[in-house]
Amino acid sequence: MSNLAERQVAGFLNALRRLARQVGLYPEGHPATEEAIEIVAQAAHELLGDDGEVALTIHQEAFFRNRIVVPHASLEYRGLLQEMQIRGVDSITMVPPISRADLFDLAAFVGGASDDLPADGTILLNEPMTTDPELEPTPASRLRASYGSTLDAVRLASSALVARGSFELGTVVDAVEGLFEHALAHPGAALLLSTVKSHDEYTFFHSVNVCILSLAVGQMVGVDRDILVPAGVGAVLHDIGKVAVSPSTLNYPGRLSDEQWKEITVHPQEGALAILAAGGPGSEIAANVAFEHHARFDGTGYPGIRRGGIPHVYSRLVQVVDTYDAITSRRSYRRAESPSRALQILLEGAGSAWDPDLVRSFIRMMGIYPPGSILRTVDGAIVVVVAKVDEPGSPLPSMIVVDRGGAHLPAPEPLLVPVERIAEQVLPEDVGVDPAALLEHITEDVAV
Amino acid sequence: MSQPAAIDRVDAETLDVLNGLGAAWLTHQLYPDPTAQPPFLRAVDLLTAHAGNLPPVGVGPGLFIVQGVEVQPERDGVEKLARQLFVHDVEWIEFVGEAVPQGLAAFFSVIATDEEAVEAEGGIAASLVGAPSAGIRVKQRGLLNLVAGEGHHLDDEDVDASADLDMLSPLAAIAMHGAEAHEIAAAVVEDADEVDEGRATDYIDAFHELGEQIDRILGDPSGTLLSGIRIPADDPYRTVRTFIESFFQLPRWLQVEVIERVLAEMDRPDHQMFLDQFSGHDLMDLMGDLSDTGTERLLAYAVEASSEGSGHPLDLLAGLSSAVEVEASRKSVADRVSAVVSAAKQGVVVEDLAAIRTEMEAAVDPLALERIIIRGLLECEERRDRFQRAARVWTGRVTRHVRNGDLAAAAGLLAGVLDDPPYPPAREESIAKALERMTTADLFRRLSRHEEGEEEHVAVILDRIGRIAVDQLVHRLAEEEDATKRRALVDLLAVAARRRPDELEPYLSDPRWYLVRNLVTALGGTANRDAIPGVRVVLDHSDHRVRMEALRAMVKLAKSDAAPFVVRALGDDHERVRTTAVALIKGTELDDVERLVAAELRADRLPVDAALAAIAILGDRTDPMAIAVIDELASRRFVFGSRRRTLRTAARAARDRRAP
Repeated sequence: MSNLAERQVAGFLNALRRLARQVGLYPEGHPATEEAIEIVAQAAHELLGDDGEVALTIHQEAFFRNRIVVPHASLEYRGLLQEMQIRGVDSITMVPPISRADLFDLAAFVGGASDDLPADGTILLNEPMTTDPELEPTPASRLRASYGSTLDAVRLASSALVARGSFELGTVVDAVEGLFEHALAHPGAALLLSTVKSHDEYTFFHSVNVCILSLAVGQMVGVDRDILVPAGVGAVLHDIGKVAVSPSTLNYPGRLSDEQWKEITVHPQEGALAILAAGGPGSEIAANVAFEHHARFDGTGYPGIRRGGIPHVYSRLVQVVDTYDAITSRRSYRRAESPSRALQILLEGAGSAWDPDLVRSFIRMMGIYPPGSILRTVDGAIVVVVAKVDEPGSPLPSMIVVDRGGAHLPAPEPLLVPVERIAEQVLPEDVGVDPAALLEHITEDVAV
Repeated sequence: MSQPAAIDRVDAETLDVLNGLGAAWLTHQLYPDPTAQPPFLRAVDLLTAHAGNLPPVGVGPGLFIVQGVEVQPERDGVEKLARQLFVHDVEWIEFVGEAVPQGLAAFFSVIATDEEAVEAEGGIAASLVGAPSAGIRVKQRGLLNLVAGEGHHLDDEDVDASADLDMLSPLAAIAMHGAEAHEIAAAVVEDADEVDEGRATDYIDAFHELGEQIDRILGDPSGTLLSGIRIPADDPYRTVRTFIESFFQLPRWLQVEVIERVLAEMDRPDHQMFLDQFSGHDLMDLMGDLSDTGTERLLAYAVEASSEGSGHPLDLLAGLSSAVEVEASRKSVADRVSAVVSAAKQGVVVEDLAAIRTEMEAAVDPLALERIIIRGLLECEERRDRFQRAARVWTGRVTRHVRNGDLAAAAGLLAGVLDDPPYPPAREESIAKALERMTTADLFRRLSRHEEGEEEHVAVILDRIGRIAVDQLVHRLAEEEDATKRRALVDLLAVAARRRPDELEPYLSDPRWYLVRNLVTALGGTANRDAIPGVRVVLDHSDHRVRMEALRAMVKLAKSDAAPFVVRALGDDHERVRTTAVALIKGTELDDVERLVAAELRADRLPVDAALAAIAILGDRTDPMAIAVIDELASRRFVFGSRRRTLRTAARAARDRRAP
């Protein structure tokens, strides 16, 4: 799936979701509804492009466009996907010119406002499906599904914590176990998936990414599953205490006032409290990770308490991974850094802020250009690294996504990029490239 | 709408207005021009007629709340209206002013719009700025509260606010009205085909204006809404961030110019905020094009930013210190990374991994970890309510261990906090409250069912709960009707009072003899001599059953020293007490008991039954004093009265038994 195609699908799904909400409230012909129909019509038009027809299929908890998976949008519009599954929608086939009435009917049906199917024949639901080999479950699809489940679990835990003041730990444990099974079967793909970012839902995506990366380090070190899963639960819940911090403070763009800083610093203890209150096997380890994830290796950090020694090894692991993912993400108060820059910052803080052994282990796992790195080659092409190399200086397994002329490729192609051909590392937002969109190619096209 | 039976006149009028509004809402949904329809006009009349006379009406999912009572709508339109308001997070509505049909129509049009779109506009009230009055005040959760559609009723202060906003530069104005970053950037460079230093000035001035306006708006939000400015309630600084984001879409020459000017006035907090948004990557990228002065200033900023330990959540700019010698630093870091990776390849780092693996695989003691976290939480929590929460989580974990039958864990967690408190003395009260909440009948029930070998854990738990456990147990003991359960409670009470038996003393004056008896049993069970003063008090209790139990308790506690109390009880008024005393003398090794009994016999102070029992006891003893007393009684020649004769007969029988 090219990045352009991914964006088109995302645009259509976003518009459809809005219209589905709208038609649950207002009849056809209402100005607000008409405006929403216009937006979805425009998105459908862009999605169709020059194609005669487009089929959006739901399979393996993902959207497929003409049988090619749309990985990032599948995660971002997971809620809509789940609503469509509840309504029994397996596929939407669009045949131009799309009628506005069909778009309305589609949204009403998806949103549960009506049981009427589109009648004009321009949108067909569940057209005869052929079991295509491409749609059989793949390691990537299973990995994506477990990523989505973990995302759901963190969301659910956070919303329950806000609404009821408590949450169920069991759901999170189940999700992390699933993630462990699928992520670690394909670590390269998992590392690529960990580049998925969402500014709107930063904390949720960040939490799952930290979990994946922590599990991956643990696996590389050679630790067993039974030991790693509780650590993974701690990793995925390390920031859950942020529900106690006001959005205005979390999103404040400048240097924090003493009061704001104080508010921020309570999130470790809030998280630990919530996890301990939830109870259950492994809650102690998870709570400890949440409590200590800002306690630095050199004894500074917060919360400021008398400590008997350095933080627990799982806490130190999450500190390293947490910092890496935070640095490489766009935050409300800072733009994203490149992965190599993040590794550089980690190295500079090794021994003071972070455990030097764990920093080295993490860098060893990631390599200098970890999977998900976006590189500009000397001839101007943009490639995404999709697997790490063991031998320093070895060519990087990559996918070329933008050619030297600046054109986005409709179908990314595998490429081994010699290190000396790398001009610079660039950021996803600077070149409009989403590394996670290449997830499916990892297990198919590139030997990991 | 259905009306609760107790509804009063005010409520009835409120329901009338709501019914009218529901009908108007349906009309609005169905007719292209609802303002001409009778139901719509009737609603407007009702709103005007009752303006300012009715209480606010709460909004629930498909229902309204009048005077705190949920009123289920009978009419479809009312339910739909409530549902629609609820979608917009409306907390309550109030009928506050004269309404006009166009105002109500505008109000309905806004709430008919997608909630995200309305929120993006700043809320319902903000969306109605300039519209005629609907006479309805809405309170949206997290948003500001204004009279819908009163844009034409600005007071003097509002006019001033509006005037201020009108004076914004065009660039600041479009930002304040919600423009995206690329739109702001486009506005900056519009018609600028070549380098124009004035653009940088305009850009920075607009940034200053934005900061000032947002600060003012945060201080007085109402003026903002009335002026149509859209500031997201949950993220007021989004506008500022969007503006700064536009910097990255400016042409390079303009970026450099802007940065030079920002750096020139780095004392300004808003300039620091501007630069704080940049990543180290961004700044290093720009540094190559800056003037020497600019570069120097940027490096000074980098040093300052990286030295601010608590200035930012993640203090991520620490890495920027490498900007001092960018190229050298880059090379150094690259070399270090390469060295690490090469070392890994050669197996050098394997030792590191082995150490980490060993540490990760080391068995985690969840109980120790639990204790450490809870101690940490109780140590660092400064907020009173959250400290209470932490204390409750702690006692909740203790209760959970007890329920799971892990009394050792429960005892360890209690003692782990209480034996060396990590919290300041001022928090004792919160701790006591948490312990009190934990001390329930269920806890006692489970503790009383402990397995063999767990007595010590039970003792630790009850001991640490202390007076609270004693209070609760006494209370339950007084009410428990089942004898078996009472025995269990008495056993627990004995354990609970083991260290401080004096905590039971206040209850010994209770008028209920049966309670006092049980308390005395518990005192005896403490096996602590500190309990003796309490038992001694009730040796003279008015109820013989208490005195009997006190005697037994005294023997348990004072052991061989209990003789004076027991012998004294031989003279008790009640036969059963005397019998108890006799049994205790027979069955217990008591110091000096023969002498004391002999003294009582010689003094002839004992009732007949007790004296006969005492003679029998001494008759069985080989102690010289016992023999002498028996002989003395048996040898009396002249006795008067049947009592003395009976005693002499008994003494002679005892002597005869001994003779062979």
